[in-house]
Amino acid sequence: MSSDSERQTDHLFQQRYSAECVRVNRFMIWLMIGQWFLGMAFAIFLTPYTWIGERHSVHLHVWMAAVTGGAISAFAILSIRRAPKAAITRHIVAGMQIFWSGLLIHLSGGRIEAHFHVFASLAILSVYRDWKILITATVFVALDHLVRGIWYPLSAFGVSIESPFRWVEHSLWVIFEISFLIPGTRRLRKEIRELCQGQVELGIAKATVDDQVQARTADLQAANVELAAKTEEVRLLSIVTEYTTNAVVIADADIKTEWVNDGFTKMTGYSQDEVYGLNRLGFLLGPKSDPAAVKKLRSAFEDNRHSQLTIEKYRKDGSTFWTQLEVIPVFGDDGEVRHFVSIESDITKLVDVNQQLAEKTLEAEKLALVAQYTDNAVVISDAKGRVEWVNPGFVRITGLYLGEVVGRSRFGLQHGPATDMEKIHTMTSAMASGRGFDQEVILHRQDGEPYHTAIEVRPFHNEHGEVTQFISIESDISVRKKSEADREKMQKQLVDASREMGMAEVATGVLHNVGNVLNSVNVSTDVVLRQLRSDREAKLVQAAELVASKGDDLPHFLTEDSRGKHFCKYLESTARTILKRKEATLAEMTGLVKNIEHIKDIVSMQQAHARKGGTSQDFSVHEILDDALRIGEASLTRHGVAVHREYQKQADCVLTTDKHKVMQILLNLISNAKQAVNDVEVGEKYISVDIARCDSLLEISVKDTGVGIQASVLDSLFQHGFTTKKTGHGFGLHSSANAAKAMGGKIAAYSEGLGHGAMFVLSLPIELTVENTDETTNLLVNT
Amino acid sequence: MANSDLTKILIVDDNREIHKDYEKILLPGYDEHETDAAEAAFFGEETLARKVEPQYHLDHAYQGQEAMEMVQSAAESGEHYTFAFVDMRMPPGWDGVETIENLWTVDPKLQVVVCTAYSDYSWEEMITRLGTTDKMLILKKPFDNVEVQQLALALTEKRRLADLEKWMLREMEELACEKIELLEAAQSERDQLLGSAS
Repeated sequence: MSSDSERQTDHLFQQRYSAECVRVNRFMIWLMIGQWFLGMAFAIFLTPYTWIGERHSVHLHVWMAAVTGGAISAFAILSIRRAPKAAITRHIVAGMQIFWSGLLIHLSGGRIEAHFHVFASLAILSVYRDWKILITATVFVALDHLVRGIWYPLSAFGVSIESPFRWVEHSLWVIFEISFLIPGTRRLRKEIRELCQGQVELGIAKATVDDQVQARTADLQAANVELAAKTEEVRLLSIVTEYTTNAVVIADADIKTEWVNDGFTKMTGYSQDEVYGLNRLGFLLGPKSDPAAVKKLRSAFEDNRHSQLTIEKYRKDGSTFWTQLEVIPVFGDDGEVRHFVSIESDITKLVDVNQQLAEKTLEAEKLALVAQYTDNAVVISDAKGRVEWVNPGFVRITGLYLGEVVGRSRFGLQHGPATDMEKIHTMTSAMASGRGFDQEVILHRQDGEPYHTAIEVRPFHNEHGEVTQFISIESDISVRKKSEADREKMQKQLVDASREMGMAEVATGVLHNVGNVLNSVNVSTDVVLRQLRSDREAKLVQAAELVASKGDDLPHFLTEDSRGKHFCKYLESTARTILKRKEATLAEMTGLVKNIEHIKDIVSMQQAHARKGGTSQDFSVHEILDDALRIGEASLTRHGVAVHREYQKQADCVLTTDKHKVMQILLNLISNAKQAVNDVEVGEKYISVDIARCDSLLEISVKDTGVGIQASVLDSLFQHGFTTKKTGHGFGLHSSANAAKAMGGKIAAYSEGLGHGAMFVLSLPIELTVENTDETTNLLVNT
Repeated sequence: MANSDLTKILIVDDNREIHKDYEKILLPGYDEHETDAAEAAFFGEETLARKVEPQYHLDHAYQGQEAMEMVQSAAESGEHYTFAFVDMRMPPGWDGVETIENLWTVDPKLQVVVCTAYSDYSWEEMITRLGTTDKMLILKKPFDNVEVQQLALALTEKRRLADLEKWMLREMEELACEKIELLEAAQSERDQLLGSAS
């Protein structure tokens, strides 16, 4: 029996005993109270008769009984009350009980029967099961009997004389009782103790069992909790693997596929059955898969390492996708690899997005480069037109730094004396009303230098359509303006050069034509010379002299002489020949003259082109016409062409334009008319020149009764190089038309067809300065 | 082969005046034979050794394409043109060089006289395009009558000699062939004889 259990046993026993004592105490209290009443009853009913005979009064003993008894009982009760479990209480109770026995014996006058109370008390006291109190009781009995035997034997034994050793007898009987009471109580006590012990042991055992059970229960609970947690975890994991779009593959230590999740099937198109047992490594890879990545993967499997890599894989349908692959080896307790878990996520989109991002970033970088390095000034201003940001180009152009202009109005620091403030006003008000614009304006740099700039401003709207910012791009166009000016200059030079070239063209064309004409001139002169060199005339003179020398012999000579006979024939023949030759020569000469005139025309036309863009001067229309007709007069006269003039009233006005050009045109038209008329054999040959006024236009018409113009040809008349004349060069009308256009007018040609003459009308815009004059001059120039 | 007595000449120029000029130069004018004879008879002189005026037949083309057609038909009919005067500038059609190139494709023997007052080509360019050849001569406008006459004379003679040479060569060949045949025949005869003799 361990000390602990002993202790417990003791404790338990004490508890039980105490409880028992308390119970017994309660009984004893009643007993004490009962005994008091009994004592009282004895005292009241017995003691008086026993002591004094029949004296009937409340004897002293009654009071003694009441008081002593009361005291005894009270003392016992008090003790009990005070310390119900204390051993001393029991002893006191035992003592008191014996005192009651004594009292009752006393009150009963030592009656023998009262002594039985002692034995009863002992038995009652044994209920306490405390043998020690029995001893106490015995001692008290002994003492009481001894003391009362000696001093008051009456009260004890009922006899006054008593043997001094009666108390021993009584005590012996008490001892006798207690001699088996004590072992009994002791035995009882022991039994109870054993019981207690047993109980304790049981209790301990039970406690132990309880503990164990509790422990086990606790363990079980803990295990349950863990299990629950694990189960939950597993459940969640299974949800993950079931629903994740990532592919999860579990392969065994030989890298053969054991299990794949739905995500795998979705990603690759292969079901679990299709891939079961297949080697995890080579599967799904293909030509596009980066060999370096494949190598890395292989080494991860071989070395049982955890690895992560990106690789391109193939689906069942042959398409490819980018995947981020994580291979995790799972080790068993023995340290050997049991499984390979691989988790893949489809990062094709990511790869694409990354690529796009890279592209966008590149683009953005490029754009940033643009903004950074462009020579144009880029300014971002807020909705109110205040500057938020400027690029380096702005700084370059204006000399103003971001710090100086930020927060200020857009053009605040940039205008200066050369700036057109109205334009600035227009721009700022446009921005105020949220509009964009394009504007060219002169602004000033920080150092005051003005520069031309082309500003392009665009508003920027947010998703609600409100204007949040303005973006303005300025380009310094000073250079451009200058180059424009330069270009204009160059263009003018070019125009001049091309004009010169054109003239050269014309000149070469002219030379070609002149060359041709000269050729004819050459040939003609040659022929004429040849013809003139003939010696026929000389021979004729010789012949005449010969004949004259014959004198009177002439008839004979003419008829008889062998040579003279031929004279007539010779004369006739020679004469005819000479005449023919003369005619031929004349024809040649005529042709020659024509050609020379033609050359003159060509040259004068060339001169017309050579003349630069003429000066504008005031001249009278009538005058210029008269001049033109006078110039051509000789030729007109020679050819027998009549000229009519019809100058309309109100039509003498002053033209303010290029006099030379007009003259050239008129000469050309008149010459053409003349030539046309020339070719007409029959009918009247005349040219009529009219001036008429039509609204703001002056019309000069040159009409001829010449050969006319075919309708089909009318359109082509003014083409460069076009001519219907045999010796025409085609320049006249073309350059005349151009000249007319240059003056703001035009030339029109009319004809009713071949043989019906033609009319050319030159229209020019006028400024009427002279009042209308009633004048119709009709001159007939004729031979 | 130019067998006719008249030399055929083709004038190619867009300017009609020029054609007239050529005619004036190359064709005989009015006939003065009668008067010459009468004169000679009267004065009792020997009839002047008349210049044998060469006889030319002139054809006229005003554009390059036209000339091409005429040369082609002449070549096909066997009566080739002896030579052609070709102008350099003949708008709107082919220019002179183009015309000559084309003429030579249909009649490689044709001699040409390039005749112009102005050219778009430098002479070097022209020679590069047409090649260094004796079939091309140059005559600048304005020209003298005698230049044309001499050219015509020389070219005609040149052609005649060329034709003659060819003809003679052919005759020679034929003759040679004949002779060879005869020789071979004689050889074979001899061989036969010798063969039979031995």
